[in-house]
Amino acid sequence: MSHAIQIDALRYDVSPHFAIRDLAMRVPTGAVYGFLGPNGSGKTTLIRLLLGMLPPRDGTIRVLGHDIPSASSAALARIGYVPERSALYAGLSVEETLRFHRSFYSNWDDTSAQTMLRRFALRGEQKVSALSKGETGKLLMLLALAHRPELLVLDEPTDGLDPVVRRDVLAALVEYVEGARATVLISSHLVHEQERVCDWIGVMDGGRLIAELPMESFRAGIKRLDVSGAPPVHAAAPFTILAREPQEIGARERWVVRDWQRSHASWFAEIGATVHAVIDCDLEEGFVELLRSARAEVAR
Amino acid sequence: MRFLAWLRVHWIWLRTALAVCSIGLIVTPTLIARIDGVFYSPQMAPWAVSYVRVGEAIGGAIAVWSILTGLIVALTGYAITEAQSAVYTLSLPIDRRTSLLHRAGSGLLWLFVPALGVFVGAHVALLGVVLPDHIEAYPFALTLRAFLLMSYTFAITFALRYAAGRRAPQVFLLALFLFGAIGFFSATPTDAGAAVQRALAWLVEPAGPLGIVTSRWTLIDV
Repeated sequence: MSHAIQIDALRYDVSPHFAIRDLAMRVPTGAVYGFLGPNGSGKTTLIRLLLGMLPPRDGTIRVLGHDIPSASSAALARIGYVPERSALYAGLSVEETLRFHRSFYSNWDDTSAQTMLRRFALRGEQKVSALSKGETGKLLMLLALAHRPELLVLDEPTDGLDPVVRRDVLAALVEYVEGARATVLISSHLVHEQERVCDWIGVMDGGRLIAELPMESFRAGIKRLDVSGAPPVHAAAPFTILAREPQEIGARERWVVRDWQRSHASWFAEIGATVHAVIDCDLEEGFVELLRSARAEVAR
Repeated sequence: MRFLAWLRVHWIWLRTALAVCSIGLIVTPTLIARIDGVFYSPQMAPWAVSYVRVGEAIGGAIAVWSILTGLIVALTGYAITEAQSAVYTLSLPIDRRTSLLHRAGSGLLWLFVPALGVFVGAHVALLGVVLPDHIEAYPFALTLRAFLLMSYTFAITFALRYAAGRRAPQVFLLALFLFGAIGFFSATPTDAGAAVQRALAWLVEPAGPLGIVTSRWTLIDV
């Protein structure tokens, strides 16, 4: 499997209290990779590192085969980027912004840009500083897509947008990705949105990537179990226990496990416990349990 | 192509500042000459030296305007490209050195507009003026010198602003402190004061780094 983004042993000090340490990440070529994590987990910092905006302290970053940051300009020519907050130049109109942006990309598709301009109902003479949040989001998506990138890096692209604008922006994105078979790294804390569009998931917390797996495995592998009779100390389980806590009513316990398979039910019989129900977790539940488990591990 | 794009956006950002500075540079020589009156009423002071005095007043004012222009143009362009931690600027597929050169170069090129203002202003001030024998006006030389001073100020400001990065406010405060300390030491009758005075003399002598500012500026000379 080839990888559009490949990061190994990455280290970067954000502040004296927060750092990215020994981070490894693989984004398969052609995947829509959902990058989940709570606010302040280091998602935006990691995105800036992989775009060459920040110099890593240690480790290697390869994006579309280019070493970052030394060859970041070559990589950036093949990347469409939507930042978390608009940083477009004040004082320029939409048309002037398009003209300026176009001059940096040899692949710029003017027809596609004009089509998106009409579709997003943006007027060329509008000043960028006077655009609403939704209009700015649309313009950023237009700028990211119009040069036909092979990789899209989207940092909270729909954050703060109303549902109608969000649908428009996501529709343009999905349409482009289907046509161009581009790789997408989409960072968000809107878990349900990621669940709809992503086929890979990476979860970041406290500067660490605590999970990275195909969406299918994530969905199928994380379960909530209704258990009774389990001893406090038991033999090693063939799956990962993310959480174990008593239920509010009765003597049963609620277990959240990862890498679950049907055959694992026999393990409970071996330790003298009974599994009463196996319930699928949705992405949000799985995400929350992953975070809880990772934080508990760090606290230990 | 990319440089032209930078040139175009710098024009959009800088045009108001360039217009204000250019108007200032056009109006100032005439205003000084009008207030003084010698140019237009030679009977007030029939000596050649009076013309030179007015020429120096105009030259001094042009020097101050040139410093201001270089400073304003450098800081205005830089502030826009560095907004929001320069995220947009850094996301463009161009290496940082080239990007900086393009940004500095395009800002620098637009300084020809206020320099043109110096040329026009000097000619307007001299309209209908008959200079005494052995006295000459040097509007072109003044224009060239003003352009050089604007460029010099622009380059130093741009370089300092880039080097300061996110610590620009601290660097500014440090510079203020240094100026204060230099002023204090140069006024004290000690060895340190004498050393500071010697250093200042070197800075402002015609061949020194600040010679372009402190040496004689004039529109009219023998």
